[in-house]
Amino acid sequence: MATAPMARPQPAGWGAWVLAVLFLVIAALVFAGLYLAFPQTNHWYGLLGIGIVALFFALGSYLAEAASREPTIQRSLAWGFFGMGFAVLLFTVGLGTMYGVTTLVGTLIGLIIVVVALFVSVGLMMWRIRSVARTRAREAPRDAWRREPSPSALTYATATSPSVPEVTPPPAAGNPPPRSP
Amino acid sequence: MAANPASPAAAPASVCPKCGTPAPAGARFCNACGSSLVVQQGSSTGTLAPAGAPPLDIRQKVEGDRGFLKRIQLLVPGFRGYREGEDLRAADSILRREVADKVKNARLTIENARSAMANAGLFAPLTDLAPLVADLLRIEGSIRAAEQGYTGFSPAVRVAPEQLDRLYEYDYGFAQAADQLNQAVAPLPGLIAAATPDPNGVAGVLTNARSMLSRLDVAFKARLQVVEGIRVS
Repeated sequence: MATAPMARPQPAGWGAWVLAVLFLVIAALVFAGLYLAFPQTNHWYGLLGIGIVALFFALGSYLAEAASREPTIQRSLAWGFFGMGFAVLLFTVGLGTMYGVTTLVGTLIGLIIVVVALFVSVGLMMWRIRSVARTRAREAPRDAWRREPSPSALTYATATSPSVPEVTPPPAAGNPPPRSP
Repeated sequence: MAANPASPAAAPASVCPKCGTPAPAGARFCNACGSSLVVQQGSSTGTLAPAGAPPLDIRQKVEGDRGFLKRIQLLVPGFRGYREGEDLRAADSILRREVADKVKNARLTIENARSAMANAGLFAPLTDLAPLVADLLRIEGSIRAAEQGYTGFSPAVRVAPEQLDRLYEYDYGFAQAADQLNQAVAPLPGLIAAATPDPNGVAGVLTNARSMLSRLDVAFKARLQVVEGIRVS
């Protein structure tokens, strides 16, 4: 079993782009459906639904990164839906009072919930970004190790401590060492 | 299987690394179990890098072969470190299994030499063989089932992925050392099979093997302490 080099990221093929466009079309249809599902006086609820569904799409796109070695498309979609979801939620909840859909107290509670969700999401993102950076930082010493010839444990400092006898070379053929008495 | 004495890659007269059956010179496959006897130069099992070559990295292979579920785990904040640690331990475990197989190969060479020595009338070195074989068995077992650097939820000494990397790189040195051990005991069958067996030559090989083994033992016992940086020296 010889070790093969780690699979290098491949640029996204046309199939990935087709799937991404298909997903965007479906998402747009879902959003339109949600908006139109409510009567004109209740579009506010439709917008609220669109914001929440966009966040679920963001989560789905983020987890879809696992399906590909070069997940640029999935990552872009995740960021896009994430931004769209929170923007729609913030504006929808924040402007609820202006359009007479919610009370001031309701708007404040809604905003607090959305902002807390935003901070938690950003915190989790920072956590992951930091761990990804740490993983990348580990590659430098690994590369240096791979470039060096493989060492022997017999040359380790621990192996050559004074309590351990020195290794003697085997006697050459035809020239045996003197026999012990 | 037919022997091919002309093959440069075929192993010399030795034992099968899998079942321990003696094989004739130049045989490419074991007559008993059918395992391949062809080995790469400098490596007893043909798996790891030969002496002086850049090491092959099993970590890369394990990380590159992560499946869908493992890659999802990498995306979950807080779970990534666990996944990376597990994969490093898996790579280290594969590596240590290879090293243990190499040590086993050395032991089989010596065990097969034991009966050959008795048949050749070399009784004096036999007394040194039993403790040597016992030590080889013990070290082989230690390497195969060694500590993997696990830590609990809130450990006193945390084993980070960086330290697991160092543990892997430290363990890689044992592959090279096990190859050296195999090379040290390789002349044994030839010395015993000679027309006039040389007891001093056999004793020299065994002394050398015992010395290497004791150094290997010391280095292996210190592996976790060395990697964690808390060894009292």
